[in-house]
Amino acid sequence: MKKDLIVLLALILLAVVLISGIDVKSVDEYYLLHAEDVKPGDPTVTVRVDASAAVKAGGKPVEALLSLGDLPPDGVLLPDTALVLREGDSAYGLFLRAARIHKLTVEHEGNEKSLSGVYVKGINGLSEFSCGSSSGWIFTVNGKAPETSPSAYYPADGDVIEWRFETDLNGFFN
Amino acid sequence: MTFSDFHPLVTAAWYLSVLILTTAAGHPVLSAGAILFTGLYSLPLTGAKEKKDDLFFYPLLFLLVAVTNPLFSHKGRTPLFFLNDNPVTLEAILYGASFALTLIAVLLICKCMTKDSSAERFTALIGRFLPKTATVLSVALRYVPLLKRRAGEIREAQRGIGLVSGESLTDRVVLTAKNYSSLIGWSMVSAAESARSMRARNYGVTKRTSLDPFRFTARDAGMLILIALCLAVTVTGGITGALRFDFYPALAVKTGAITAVSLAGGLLLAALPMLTEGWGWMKWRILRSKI
Amino acid sequence: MKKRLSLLPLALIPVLIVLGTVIANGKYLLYFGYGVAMLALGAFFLTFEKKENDTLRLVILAVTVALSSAGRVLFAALPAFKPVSALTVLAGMWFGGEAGFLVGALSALLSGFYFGLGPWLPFQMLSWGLIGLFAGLFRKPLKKSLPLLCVYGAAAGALYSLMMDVFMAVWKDGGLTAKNLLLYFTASLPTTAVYLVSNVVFLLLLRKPVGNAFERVITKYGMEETE
Repeated sequence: MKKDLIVLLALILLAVVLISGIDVKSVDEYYLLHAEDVKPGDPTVTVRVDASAAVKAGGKPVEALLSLGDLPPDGVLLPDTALVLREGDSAYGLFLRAARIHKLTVEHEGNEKSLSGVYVKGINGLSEFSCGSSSGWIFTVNGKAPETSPSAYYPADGDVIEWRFETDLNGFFN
Repeated sequence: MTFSDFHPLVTAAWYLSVLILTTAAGHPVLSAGAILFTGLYSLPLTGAKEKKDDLFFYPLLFLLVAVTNPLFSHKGRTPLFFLNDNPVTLEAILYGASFALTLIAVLLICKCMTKDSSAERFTALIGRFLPKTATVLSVALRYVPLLKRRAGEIREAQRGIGLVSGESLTDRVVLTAKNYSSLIGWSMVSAAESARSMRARNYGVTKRTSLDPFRFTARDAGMLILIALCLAVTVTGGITGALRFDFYPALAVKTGAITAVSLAGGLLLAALPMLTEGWGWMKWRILRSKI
Repeated sequence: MKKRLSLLPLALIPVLIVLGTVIANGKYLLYFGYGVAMLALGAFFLTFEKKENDTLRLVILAVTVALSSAGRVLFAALPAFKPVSALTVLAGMWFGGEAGFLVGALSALLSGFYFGLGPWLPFQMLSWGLIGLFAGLFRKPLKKSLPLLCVYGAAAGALYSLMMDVFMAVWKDGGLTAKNLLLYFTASLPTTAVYLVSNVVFLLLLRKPVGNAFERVITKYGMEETE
């Protein structure tokens, strides 16, 4: 049975590698995207990342992140930032670009090609469930939560895309 | 004396408590200690080949588990690099390593448990409240070497009449299976016959007295109390959160006097078999030097 | 009819297990799992003790357990190739569901002494036990149709593998998610395949001779057939 364990784990490793492919970036490469020049007349989209609800709720994980500087004291990881809206940019694509420019780390599940799309589990170390089992990140466009996943939503010029940390998701959706 | 000289109840209590404690705590220091102490304890119990296999297997398992965890879990605030745009974090690697330690500790403890247990000990343990099951188990145990011998006889007989196994794997499997079914047929009838004679001699009709080769002595009681004490100390510390070892979002280890005492309790518990062996060894040396 | 009802709680166990998986999640799932397994095994063995079981029955069951463990030793050279499931199923078919459970569970335990015990033991005992139990419940159709028996053998192999995968997933990841389970299941596919094949092969090869041997014991020596 023990040898089975090893074979099993090795097979899982292999499966993961084959299925998702390997694209390795160093931390610098991930953060390398430059701030873009927004020229007047360009279609733009505003991206914002707000974790103030988490800071207000507190708790061990949040305290740790605050003390390490991963979370700013007001909880706003990314204030309103304008990005150029290019052809084919999904909400997630724009968000990821903004995150990488401003050196935020995004923990996600799934990818653009998969059926259920991308699901953002954590930003800069603040993962879902950090403030209880009903807490996590939601994505809204112009204040409303769309039905589709962020990788399948294509925003229009002037949209405001926000990722907000909610501490009571059950209440939010009801 | 060796650890297995204790009453089966004591050894069972130890194995159960260490298993549950190591799994429940998940504390890397505790797990590492368990690996060290049970590893040392198991040294005289394992053969050279097994030692070689283990030396290869356990580090490999450790690496595999430590490496696969960051592939699944991208939590943690210290990205080391990015795999498919997901962070591979230091915390995930550390958690993988810690979990691997716990996993290996459990496997090692189970291995020692296998060595220390025998169907006789198990039967003695459950014989009091599951007598029929204990009977079935001990009868089955006695039959296994007999069956192995019979299987050999069947094979010899077949070779005698020229029925040699073919080269292909399928041939050999089918032949072994055929031998196996002959074994079953033969054993069924012979077992029924002996059962019949047992019944004729009124076996099992009156209340049976079991020959219990294990007596519960004061020494056993003492060890049991020791186990309970260590367990109590560690569990109390654990309940108060002294054994917290958080990995996400950042490494947060509880330290302090209570933590140290709780860990000490757990480590002592894990070391008991090894200490028993050491104690026995020392006593023998002392006695021998007096000659 | 009364005898059949006493087996109902045992049949409820898989239902409980599934329920537990759905309801209890997270860290406590593992403990819940162990609790269920131990309770189920305990319930069974206590019921077994209470019932009238004469010497012949005990000895025959013991020999069957010994045979399935010895069989595992006999075929030890081929990794997942074990006659244990086949023998458990056949025992359940001829001697009843309770006997089937006993043979399955105790074979797991006994061969554990030879091959090594592990933290998976209660679940292994439970899986093989249930395989024997259900074989006993479905004994009439299983006896009548050989293809059905093969299907049952294959299903039993798949279920055993699934149970072990669930255990591994819960143990490692502390909770059950569809993605994790799928991953473990896919990775264990080769072993599962061998289990399936070995079950079917052994059932095909052993059904006639072992069935006859069991039959002989029942008719010649008067072994009772219970539910």
